[in-house]
Amino acid sequence: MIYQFCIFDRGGMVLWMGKFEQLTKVSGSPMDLLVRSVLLEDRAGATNFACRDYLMEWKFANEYGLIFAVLYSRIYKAHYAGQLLENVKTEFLSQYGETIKGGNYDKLDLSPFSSTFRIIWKRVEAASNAKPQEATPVEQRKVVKPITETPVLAKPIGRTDQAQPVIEKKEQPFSFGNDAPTAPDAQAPRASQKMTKDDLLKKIMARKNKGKSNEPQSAAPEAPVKREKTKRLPSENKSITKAAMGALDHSTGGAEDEEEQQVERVRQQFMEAPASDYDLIPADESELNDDTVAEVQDDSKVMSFFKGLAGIKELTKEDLAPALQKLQDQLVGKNVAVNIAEQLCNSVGASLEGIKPGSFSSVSRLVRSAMTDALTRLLTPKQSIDILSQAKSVKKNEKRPFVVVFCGVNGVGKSTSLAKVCFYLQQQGLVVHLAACDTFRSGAVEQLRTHARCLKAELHEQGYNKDAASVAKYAITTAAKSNADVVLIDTAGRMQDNEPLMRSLAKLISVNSPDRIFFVGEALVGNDAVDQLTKFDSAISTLAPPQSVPRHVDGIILTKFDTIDDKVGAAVSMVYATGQPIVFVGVGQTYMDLRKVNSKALVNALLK
Amino acid sequence: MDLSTSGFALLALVAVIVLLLIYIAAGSGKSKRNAILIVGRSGTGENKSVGKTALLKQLKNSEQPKYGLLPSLVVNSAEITVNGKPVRVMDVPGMVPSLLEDLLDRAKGIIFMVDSSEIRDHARRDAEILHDVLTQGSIMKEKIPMLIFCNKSDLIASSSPDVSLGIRDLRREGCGDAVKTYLERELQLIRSSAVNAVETAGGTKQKQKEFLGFEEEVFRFEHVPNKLTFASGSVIKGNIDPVQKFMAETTA
Repeated sequence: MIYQFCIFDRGGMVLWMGKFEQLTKVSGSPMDLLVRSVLLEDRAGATNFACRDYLMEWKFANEYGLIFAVLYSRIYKAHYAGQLLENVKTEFLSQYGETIKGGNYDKLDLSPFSSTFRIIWKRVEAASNAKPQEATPVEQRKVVKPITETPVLAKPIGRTDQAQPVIEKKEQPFSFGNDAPTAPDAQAPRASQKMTKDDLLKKIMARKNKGKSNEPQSAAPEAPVKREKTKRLPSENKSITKAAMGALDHSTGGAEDEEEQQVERVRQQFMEAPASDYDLIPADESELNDDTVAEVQDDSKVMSFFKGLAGIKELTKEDLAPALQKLQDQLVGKNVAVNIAEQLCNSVGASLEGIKPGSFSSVSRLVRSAMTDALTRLLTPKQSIDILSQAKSVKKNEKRPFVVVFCGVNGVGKSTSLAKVCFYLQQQGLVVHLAACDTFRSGAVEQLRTHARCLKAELHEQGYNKDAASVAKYAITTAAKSNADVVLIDTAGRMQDNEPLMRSLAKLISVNSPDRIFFVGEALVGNDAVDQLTKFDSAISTLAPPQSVPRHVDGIILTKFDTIDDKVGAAVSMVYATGQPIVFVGVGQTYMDLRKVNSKALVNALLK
Repeated sequence: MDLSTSGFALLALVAVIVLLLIYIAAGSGKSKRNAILIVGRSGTGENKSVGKTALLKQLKNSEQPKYGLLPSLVVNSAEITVNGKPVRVMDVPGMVPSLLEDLLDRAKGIIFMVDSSEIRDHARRDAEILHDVLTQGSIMKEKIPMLIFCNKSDLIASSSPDVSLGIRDLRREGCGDAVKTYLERELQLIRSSAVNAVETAGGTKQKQKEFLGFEEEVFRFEHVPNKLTFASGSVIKGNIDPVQKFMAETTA
């Protein structure tokens, strides 16, 4: 069942639109959402996009700068949507293509196209009904339902030929082997990638099911949960007296001298050591890169000049494939997660297919400049990452402290990053309080206390084995009473697959509704980056207690950024996975080693 | 035979040189400030767009596209005749902030679009973009004129001046003043944190940013050296006289 069909240009003007059915439960326009979440986020390499009960498919006519999109019901699928798009595109371009190429089509009256569309639609529908439709299981259609409020895209798994009408694809029995590219040399490395993607898909599907059936999970999955909990606690804890606990708990006393020494040591390490003079790329080098970018732009001008003179063949998928493959390898070499690199390349490929290159520009150059644009667009934050003015504004307008939660897997540097952010905010004259909500790993509270002493920030802690959510709650209330500006909450490191711990993080967040949730990740991480981040993100929103407002990761802090040289791929993977910006990067040991990143410098490092 | 071949070769050479000259002439014009930019934040969904593309279409066609608009993916550009002179007007998509930086060097006038009906909720984002625009190297130095156009004045009931926010000494009528006060307040905050922001990794080649206003004083728009005009209107209702006036002044 088709709800809407829309033809629009890249400038945003809708040339023609057909609305056939009323949409339910959708606020705003799904087409708007398609542009925002798919086309602008460089996810156009995917096959389709889900918005509530609807699915959307689209097709580019790049030589005309047009996009054709169709919206249909997820339940009563229009199996002929791909064919319909193809036929409408052909018919539309044969009728109006020349006018549109002429450029001035703003006042073109396209209402007569409505009847043409109906005829094409009827014809395609009839043809598809004539053929026996094979039931296509969800997995074959490669649709991933949005797990969270921000739509998650269908992953373009195994899709190698976009130009091929979708309907044809469906008739083939689905298998990864069948789908392999024709080039035999590319087959070997691809096969292994596909396996990981297959796994990923399965994981996503599994998680989706989990998210769906929230409560009635019964005893079976509950048992291992409990086991795990007890396993992770020190075994003596089972039968300890309060006194024994006090003795164990160094956080509430202990040898003062020893602690003083420790504070002194940390102070030396974090404050008095020379700050890192880290920079992503030396100045002269980045300028060099700048020149090449300018050159490419000039080139395109010459190109467009000569384009009219020489009849140059439109680019096909096959022309682009080698250049894209090369670029993909390069991105993977820079530590971009494999599936992300592939999705990006698919998207860039889709946006170039069908355009006519100039005689002077090689395909690889064209692909490279399109990728530069796409990456710059991706890495430039769309929202503000200025937490300082946000904190001030919250304090001023709402008279309460600004609350930030730091989360991430074990050992990535959450506490250190928290201390750096604390130092930065203190430098700007804000009163910062810390909350030690890592009530789990022994030594965590002491670590944070040492930082707090060095920074002369007030620390709220209640020792170990307490409920992290209530520790945070208490800290925020106390901080509000003492008129603090900011509360930074340190949480326990947890692996993304550890459901009980993720549940407790979700609880902490829903109870305390922080202003910002920062995900702390290592810049060294490769393919796991996406898994970590997407699982944290979905856990925060899906594992939260019912009737709480779903939350998401609001920003990313990348640590150990000075150790990776130009392998900055994790930044791309993480930003692509959630669409959230990189707020800070950590570039050294001292409190001063906190930086923002320049998106252009990142892109240069990636495509160097 | 030989003669005609060499003659052709010569002709071809001349043609190439002429073409090159034309190209260079065209290329050198590129760096000049020859365009009016329409800048602003991106919308937040249906009917919540600020109206940048709509303004361009209105200027170009004196009407809105029949089937409406979606967020722009690329810069929209059109040649518009003002007082008999053609002017290039460019609409910079709010969703693609990376495009703005390069285009600012071409701006001879900037139309900054604000949705006055939603200024309360989005003043922060508006101010952030405005701060970026103003502090870019040469915009203040070269005193590029700017029109802050408060769109959707037909929906203005929702943004009446709020007494509790201290907007008492409004000198002019209309929503321009409310917008001005909201933006000033946010710019003050953004300015202080922009100065104190952490360093940028890889930012060595970044353009030097200017300080907005005077360091000792609370920010006011009067501190900006550029000619700033606040005006309100409604693109959808065809009420864009201030824009046309601004364009005429800028191109004159």
